[in-house]
Amino acid sequence: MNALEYARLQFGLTASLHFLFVMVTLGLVVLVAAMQTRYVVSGNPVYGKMARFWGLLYAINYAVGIATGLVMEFEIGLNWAGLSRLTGDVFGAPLALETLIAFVLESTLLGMWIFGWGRLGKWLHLALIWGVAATAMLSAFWVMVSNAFLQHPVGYALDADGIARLTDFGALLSNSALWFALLHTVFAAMTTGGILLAGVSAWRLRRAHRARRRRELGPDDHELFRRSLRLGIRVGLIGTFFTISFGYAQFGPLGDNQPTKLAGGAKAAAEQAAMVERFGPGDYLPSEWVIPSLEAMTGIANLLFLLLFVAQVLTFRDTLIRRRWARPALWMLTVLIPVPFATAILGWIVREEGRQPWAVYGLLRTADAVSPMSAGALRWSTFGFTLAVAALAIVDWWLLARAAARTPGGEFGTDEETGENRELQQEAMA
Amino acid sequence: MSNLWYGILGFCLVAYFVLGGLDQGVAMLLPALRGDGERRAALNAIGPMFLGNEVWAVGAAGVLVAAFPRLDGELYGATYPAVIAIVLGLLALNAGVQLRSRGRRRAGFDALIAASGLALALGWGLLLGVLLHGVPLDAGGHLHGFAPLKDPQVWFTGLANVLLVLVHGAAFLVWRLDAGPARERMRRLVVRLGPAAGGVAVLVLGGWYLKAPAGIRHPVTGTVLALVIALAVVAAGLAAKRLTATRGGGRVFAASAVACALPVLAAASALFPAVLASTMDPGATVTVDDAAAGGETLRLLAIGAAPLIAVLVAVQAACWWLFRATGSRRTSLYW
Repeated sequence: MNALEYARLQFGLTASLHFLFVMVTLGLVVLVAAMQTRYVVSGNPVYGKMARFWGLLYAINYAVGIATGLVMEFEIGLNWAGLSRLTGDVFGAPLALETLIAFVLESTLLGMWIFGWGRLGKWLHLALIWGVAATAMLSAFWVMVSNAFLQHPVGYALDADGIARLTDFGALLSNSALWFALLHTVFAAMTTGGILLAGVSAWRLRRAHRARRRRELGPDDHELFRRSLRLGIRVGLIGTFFTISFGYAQFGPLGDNQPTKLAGGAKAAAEQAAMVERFGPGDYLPSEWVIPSLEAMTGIANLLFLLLFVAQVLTFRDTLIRRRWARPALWMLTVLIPVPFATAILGWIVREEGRQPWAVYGLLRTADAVSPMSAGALRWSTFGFTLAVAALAIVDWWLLARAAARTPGGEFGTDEETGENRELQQEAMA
Repeated sequence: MSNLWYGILGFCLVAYFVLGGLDQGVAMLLPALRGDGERRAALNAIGPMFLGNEVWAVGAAGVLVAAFPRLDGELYGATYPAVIAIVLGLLALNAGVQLRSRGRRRAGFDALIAASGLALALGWGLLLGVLLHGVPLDAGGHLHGFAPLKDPQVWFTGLANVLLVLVHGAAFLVWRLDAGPARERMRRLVVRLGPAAGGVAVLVLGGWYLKAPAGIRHPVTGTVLALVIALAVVAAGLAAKRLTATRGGGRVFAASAVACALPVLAAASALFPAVLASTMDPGATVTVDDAAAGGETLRLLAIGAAPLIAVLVAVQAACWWLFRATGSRRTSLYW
């Protein structure tokens, strides 16, 4: 493999692994915020328990993955010097807004939320988690603004040195490669969160029933998982619907922005000839991975919608939990947990592999964007970073599984029954 | 405009050296704390601020990518081994702190946390050392090897930062921990280590005088700031000596925070307006203006991002204020 291939492999692997964390973060945060809102508004303690149980999973995933984004920032600087030099002015701006404002603010608020359970006022504490959710969405927005520029560069002009200078920020925000893709991504994350909720709840409920171990889940915990299951299925179903809708909606702008991406047969040859005429000789068609990935993604997403629809129907009068014949549906929901992740990676392959051979479509070739580094140096950093981030992903999932298997209660140093801070209570009693 | 953004980059880095430094310091001190109770108390003292502290490094990297797109590649390239240590250190520290209390085997995680704290403090110190030394950059923007990292003076600079960070972490624990043997041990550590760190800082300063790299343009400013670092860290030691066994420590922490804030400013102002001084060809030196993004980008960032930095600072200040009492008097059980 040459340096370019290593640099691409490295970014592709670390970005994909990073995105696994992102999906859980984006998907769970809104659900946790919604649970906590119902808890604060209704005062029903089961929602407080729900918010803490799922909030712990959220916090673990966030904290383990927090530094994986830094690896990518570092890779952009080190491995893709051409990208920074030529177009860094334009696509760097939204990235900075993402890290500086959204991400740093999000982490600060999250730290306060984790340690604020039972210590801060309920409404202030609720405001914190909504602040986390809002800044998480803002993060997604700015990252997609950057990505949309790479897909379809707008709002810039080349100066005398051939460097892209930002001329129209509004154009970056109204990029036709941005909004549908952003909504597609956010709803995909919501689907992921919903299915995670439903899958884990289904597993807990199924295990409790199968072994007839009534002690496995107390009545409160049973209620917690019953409500989580229903919420998860509903969010997953709605999320899948909108993910699919905003996926299909992208075909329109895509045909105009990136004619080579999905072209096949005679059309591919025509587009190739047109590109050669515009940009000189070269191979302008993306690899053969793109179309099968697209087909797999679409097929899986439609099937997922169907399965979630069936599950939603079975939530009527809790058939899913009560009737023995409906139990396989619980098993199915648990099995579905990894599916949204795999489907999302397929989606990114379509978007990113399909952009090749361009780093910035029509403006900068990937081969010109890569730093002049030796393949040897890149081999080692690829190996090292992938290993580090993959290890974090594995540890993350191991911890998530353990946190999902534990008996709810006592998260964040809170009392099991009242949700108050244990030490504060002891002090009040003394 | 580019100077304004250089200032903002500096602000992020100073915030990281002070706040992240406090995380690194506490991380390195974990082995000096006895038993799980003391270690959890120490980690929970930084608990609410920890994530907010750490992300200043990411914020600084973001400003670098956006406002200085022609600097980040060269900077990372010139300091590659140190940057790798920093990135891996950040990964390990954040994961380790989060994971230690989730499992039963905590000793391994504590060793990982301490090692990553050391890697970070040393890595950032080396990075400043390399900047002061100058880098083998040619006129074409290509780097030739990592010669600066073979210079002992650069390593002394890294070591000085490790000592500063250690004092800073201990000073924070003196301020925030409940009265008890752990706090007393930290206090004695500050008393002993503070003057030692001040001495090392002066020696490192002398070393740079002997070396006199061509890239340094404002030796006087750099010297004054370096001397203030030494004075501040000695003052932390003296303040800790006068401290009673039960209460106080805010002044000790303030002094160590000043000492940790200044290395970035000292290095940057000694080199200004250069950022990456070339040891091969003075013409290849990268200045703030060379590295900055175009005017429109910087204006946009100034309108879009700069006011929100004030919001960010306000939120972090609110975090310190909200948890002002709880951290020192009670321990949460999360970490």
